[in-house]
Amino acid sequence: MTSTSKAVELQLQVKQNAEELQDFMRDLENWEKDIKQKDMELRRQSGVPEEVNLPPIRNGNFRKKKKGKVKESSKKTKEENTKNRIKSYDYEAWSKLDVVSCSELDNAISVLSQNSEERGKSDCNLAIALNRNYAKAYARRGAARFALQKLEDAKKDYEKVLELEPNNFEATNELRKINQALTSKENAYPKGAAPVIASAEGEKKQVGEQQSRQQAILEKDLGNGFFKEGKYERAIECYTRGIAADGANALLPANRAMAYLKIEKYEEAERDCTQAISLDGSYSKAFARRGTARTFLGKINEARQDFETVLLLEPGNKQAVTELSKIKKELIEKGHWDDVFLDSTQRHNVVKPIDNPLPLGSTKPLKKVIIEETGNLIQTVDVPDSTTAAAPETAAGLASKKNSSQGDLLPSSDTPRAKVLKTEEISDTSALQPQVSLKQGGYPSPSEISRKVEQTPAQLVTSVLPPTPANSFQLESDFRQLKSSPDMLYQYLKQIEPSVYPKLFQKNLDPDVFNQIMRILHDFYMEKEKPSLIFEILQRLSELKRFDMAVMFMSEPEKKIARVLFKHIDKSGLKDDSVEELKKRYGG
Amino acid sequence: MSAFEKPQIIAHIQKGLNYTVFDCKWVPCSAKFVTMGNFARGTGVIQLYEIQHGELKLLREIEKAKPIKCGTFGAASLQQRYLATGDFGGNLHIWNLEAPDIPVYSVKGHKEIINTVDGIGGLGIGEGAPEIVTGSRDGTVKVWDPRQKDDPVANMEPVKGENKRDCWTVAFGNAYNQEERVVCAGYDNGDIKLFDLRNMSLRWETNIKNGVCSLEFDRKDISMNKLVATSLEGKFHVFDMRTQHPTKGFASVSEKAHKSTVWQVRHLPQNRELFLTAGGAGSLHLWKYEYPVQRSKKDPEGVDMGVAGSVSLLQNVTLSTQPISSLDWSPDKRGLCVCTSFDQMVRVLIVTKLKTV
Repeated sequence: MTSTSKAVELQLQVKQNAEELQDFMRDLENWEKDIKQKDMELRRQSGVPEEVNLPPIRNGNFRKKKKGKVKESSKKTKEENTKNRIKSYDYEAWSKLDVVSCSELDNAISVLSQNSEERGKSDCNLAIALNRNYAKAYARRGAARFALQKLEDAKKDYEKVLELEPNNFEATNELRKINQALTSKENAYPKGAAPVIASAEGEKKQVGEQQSRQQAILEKDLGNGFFKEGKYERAIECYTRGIAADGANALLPANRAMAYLKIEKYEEAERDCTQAISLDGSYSKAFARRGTARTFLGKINEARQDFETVLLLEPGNKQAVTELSKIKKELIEKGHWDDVFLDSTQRHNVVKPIDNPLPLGSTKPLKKVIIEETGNLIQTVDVPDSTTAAAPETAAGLASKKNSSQGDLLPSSDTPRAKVLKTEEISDTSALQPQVSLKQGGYPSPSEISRKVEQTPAQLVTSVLPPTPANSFQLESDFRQLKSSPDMLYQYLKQIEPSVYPKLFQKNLDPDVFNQIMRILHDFYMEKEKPSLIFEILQRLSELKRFDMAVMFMSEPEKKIARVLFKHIDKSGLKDDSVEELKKRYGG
Repeated sequence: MSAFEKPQIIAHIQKGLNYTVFDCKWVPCSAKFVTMGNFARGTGVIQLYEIQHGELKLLREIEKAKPIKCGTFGAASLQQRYLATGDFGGNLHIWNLEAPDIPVYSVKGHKEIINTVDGIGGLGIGEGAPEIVTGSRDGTVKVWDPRQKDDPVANMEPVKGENKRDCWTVAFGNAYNQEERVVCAGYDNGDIKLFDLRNMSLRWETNIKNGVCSLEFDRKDISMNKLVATSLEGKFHVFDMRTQHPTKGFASVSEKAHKSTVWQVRHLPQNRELFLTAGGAGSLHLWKYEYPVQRSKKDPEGVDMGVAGSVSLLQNVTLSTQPISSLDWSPDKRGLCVCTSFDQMVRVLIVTKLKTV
């Protein structure tokens, strides 16, 4: 290329580019005008978007189901739930396509969608869309279609299941049933699969177990079907068979309880819920249902506790919140409004233990964790500390026991530490008198008790006698811990001076605790202690702020206990006006 | 191609700003664009400009509490044209620019700064629900539906114990029908992850060794075709997204473009084979992608694998001494483009001859 042609080219280029740019600019002017007009038009529509058929919010279905899943899964804390719930958040789980969570979702579908099979079916469709190889979803859809009498479709679904899982027992069964139904053209629902089960005898035991579990799930699904149709009795039959097949499935009794609730058999419902709870202590739905059942049974206080548990397990549960407010309203109507508020505030401080069934829970005993301000302790300590000669020994013994856990034994009572502890055990001399006098009653002296106590920890680690409680929370928790050994409870109660009751309970006399104390009085004190002591305890209890409330919640057997106690006091010749008055206050 | 046939990149209008500008976006169906950034006093700012006969006119200035890092119109309808922004505090807001006092939608989506945002389902681009995806320094990528308050509709975060990587860029794609949709995210360690929103699964991941600054599909609303990823150290990669090999993934071609970080890549809305990259030294490069003769071939086992094409540089120009941090093609006018740089300048560019390329 010569230099002249280069120059010409360059010139041409410059010229062309300039033209191009000018064209563009002109174009831009025109465009500006056009687009501004278009812009104005759009603005005049004042931001009303065109009606378009938008798809639903992503994972919206999933979100709705999520709630049910949380209830079903036996996880203790909400955090844990969220962690386990959407594994799909993390990459690894995503790449594996979380079938576990799908199965949970599926569970939720079968339990939750209590509206119609149609919905169950569509849910299954969703699950299938999520994972084409998810045999369970096919099986469920098959069940739904079966219930909808779409036999051909159901058959296809089960065949698909068999294709995916050639050994699937449920599918084989169902296919057989569908074939039967197809041939006989009977519209009857399958009458349980018991005969089929029988035909499957001779298989290995493990397989049998698995089968019975599957059978239980099958029955559950069947029951859910009946439930949705409003045939509660038939649903109950199904659930009952399911429970017989697999006693460890908490869903079955819980579902049966729901059915019982529907036909207003509240006692049965309560019993079933209790069973479900014993199988899965974190199954909030069971608590909610038991709460409902108990409300109808008039066990308002227990119902309230159930709903509070629901709230603990699942903060923000709407049903629990409304039911609780209803219960509170009821209580307020009855004039116990202060009780309502005090109680609810008190509960905030306590993290309740969850009773898991033995095979599911950890082997360690669950502890109740008490959250309290340390200032409270000091408050309870400032009790007069005039002690008798016999007392320090006891105190020291107990104190040393207390401190042994911290590693520094304090055998003598002259250190300030021991003194403080001692004041917790023994409050004042006068109150101690009856206790001292009862030594002659044949029961070992306090010091002996304490020595005994010191020996026991070595043998029975679990049943260590707790120290005297500093507040009612501690007392409640200790009571719960010692529940299994009434004897320990008795000893525990005995170390609490009746005179410190007001301080100890303040405003929080729990009816449960109250009833337990009554029982201890009945079972042990009557035999081993002086009636005057019983009388004193009863009197002190009656002075507590929430005493009337607690009495109101006494059941018939508990009232009987009270009557027996007073009879005992009467017999001992303590009969006077104050006893009569007290008796009246105890509902006698 | 001889020199005079090449497209030219010309700075049509330049304007200095009194704040650090992070992002700019054309308002769809208008001669307006917004710039987003932060004032020296630490507050956030959105400015709305309009081109009027070769001049820029400031129509509106909105000051907000937190510096605004990124924005998109992608999930808004043409009638509303609401701007979704992510700020330094991790908040996702959607603003009606006509009444910007209160956000139309507001959520504290992330614990840390939202680096990047992309939208889909609005403006008639992409099938399906309007959705916004945000990527943040906290390591998470979240998908939001403006119809759902408070909670994301999908959340992609590293498993517990795995290092959290700073997510620098996100992009929607594959939205060719109501169900299909993917989100691609780029991280500071060079990871690129492709999330399938329909299956809720991680579809593909790779590492390009250097931090991923910008990602873009050539089109959001077609079955995945090409993906461009730009990185620190001046390289960019073009992935052919049509054919995914079970082990090798997607075929790609990489090119060393700028001498420094490639901050941004944007495909020309009117021609998806052309894209512009913005470099750390204030330069812009216009590229053309050429497909191979055959886009897929069989590997020895008979499995399909993709074949990458080639890229050729059409034009480059240096506009500023500071990095060009954001770039946006006008969706309505071919060859019109706006970019912002860290020397606090906004420039309206004209790229000619794009029709004939």
